[in-house]
Amino acid sequence: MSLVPASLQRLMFGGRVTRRGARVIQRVSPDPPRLSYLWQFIRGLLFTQFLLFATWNNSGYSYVGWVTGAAHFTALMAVAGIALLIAHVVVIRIAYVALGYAGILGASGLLAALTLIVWQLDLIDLNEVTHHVAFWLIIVASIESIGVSWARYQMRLSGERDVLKSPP
Amino acid sequence: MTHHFTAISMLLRWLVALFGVFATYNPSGYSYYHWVHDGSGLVSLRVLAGVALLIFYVVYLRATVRSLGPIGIGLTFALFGSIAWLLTQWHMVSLSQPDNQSVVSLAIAASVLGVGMSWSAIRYRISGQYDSEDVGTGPI
Repeated sequence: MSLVPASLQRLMFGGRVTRRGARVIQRVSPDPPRLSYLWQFIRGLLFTQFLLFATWNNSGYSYVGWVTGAAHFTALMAVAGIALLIAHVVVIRIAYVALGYAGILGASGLLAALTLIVWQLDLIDLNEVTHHVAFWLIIVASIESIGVSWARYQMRLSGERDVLKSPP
Repeated sequence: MTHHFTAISMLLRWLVALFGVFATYNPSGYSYYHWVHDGSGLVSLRVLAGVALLIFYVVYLRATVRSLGPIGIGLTFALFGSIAWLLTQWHMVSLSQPDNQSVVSLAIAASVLGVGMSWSAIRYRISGQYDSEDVGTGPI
């Protein structure tokens, strides 16, 4: 029994209300489709790779190359620099919260194993590749991208949710 | 809330923040500050508007401090400050008049509040991590 008519309750609280006035609790978030997880991982991977290589790479076409090569520091450089800094802080914090030290260690181990497999198949020369900074940038970006999407996989796999306290 | 957060949602929060901040004070002379100083109109109406603005500030500041934290607030101020610098360097904004200076500083403050209000929802969309304040409205 309710004094408020069902139509008004629906307007006030949302959700479905039966004629007797009982509110039907609906699932707020149904699981997203499986393919969207793959897309999210690719999105995270592309973004973190872009972020690290946009900040620095040895071709000279990067933020560091731009600032060091310019005659004087302009406002556009300040905006781009702060935007990059914010993106780095956001990505590193998300990855650290999602993975923790154990997760970072695990992700590094996984990537090390993958690198060893590629080396044993004679696709790369480990001695030569590890001297390139680009290799280490790819490794760091991959760990970050696993971190960025990990909270969603955890939610799907075990139902556990990452809940943050106030930053930092 | 966090499940249907789009660019429009962020735009709305930002517009409300701009409205609230500029309603409190702006150099045109039509603001809550000038209204109280003039002493015109009903006292009760002024009290009502004052309480409404106070509620606006409590809600926005609390959300901003909780979601961004001191580091995030500093970074957001730096971002909007440098955008203002960029606009002056491109001669789109002139900071020589004091009126423009106050409008730009108020707009920066309002933008930080707007971002702070939206940030936990944006982070949830990026990472799937909840702010502890969102848990009540999250999936059961």
